[in-house]
Amino acid sequence: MSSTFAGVSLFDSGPHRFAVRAVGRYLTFPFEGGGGGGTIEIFGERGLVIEQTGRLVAPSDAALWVLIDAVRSRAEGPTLGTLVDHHGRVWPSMSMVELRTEDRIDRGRVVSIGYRVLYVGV
Amino acid sequence: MIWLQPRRVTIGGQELSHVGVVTVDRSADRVVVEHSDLGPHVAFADVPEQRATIVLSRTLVNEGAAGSLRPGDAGTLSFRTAPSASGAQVREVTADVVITGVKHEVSAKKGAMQTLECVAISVGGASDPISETVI
Repeated sequence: MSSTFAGVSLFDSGPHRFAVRAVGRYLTFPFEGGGGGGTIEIFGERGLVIEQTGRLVAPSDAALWVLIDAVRSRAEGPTLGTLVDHHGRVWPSMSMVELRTEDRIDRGRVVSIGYRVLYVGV
Repeated sequence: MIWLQPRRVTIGGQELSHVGVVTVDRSADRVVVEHSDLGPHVAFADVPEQRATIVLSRTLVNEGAAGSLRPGDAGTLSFRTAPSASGAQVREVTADVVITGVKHEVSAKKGAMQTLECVAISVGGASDPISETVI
């Protein structure tokens, strides 16, 4: 099955993967971060962050920019939605907060670009 | 691609005599490979950056025949080739090249050999840097 964010398939032009970043709580070890105490200090709970990496693929530069702009508009806007991966795993109330493309558009048999997208749980 | 016994071989207008073979090797400078979350196999591959390397091998018949070409020199490589000696279907192969290597080898079996290695240049980068036309 294809992945979706807020009910829209934005990334099906190319392969992509999802990974859940570190979960749990923030902590500092002794003598790290300016702490002088002798114990591990535990702070608040980490928010859920999901990282998606992949490649947008199109037959032309113009078509690729359509794909990039569609993702960019979600990353810049306050879109809140459910993220569903290829296997039906559902993460509700996620917000896309960052699209970071690779340093070049690749023009070979097709036109493509690698990317990383971050979602945070709201 | 291999051309045997090409004729009228020139680089930048400088004629190269006794060229026995010209080869073109094409290789990927950058390979894009992607996997997906759906399984272990490559889901996407492309070669967005590639290079054509041309190698000329020729026999040197005297000391002065080595010429003055050296790495970094640029010019148009041109030569003619035909499937037979009849003169029919003569083709001209041309490419803008930059010399990347000049090597020599001397042996009792082959005599003095010179090998010129070049990278073919495509103006703008979109079209194939090597053209072959029937003349």
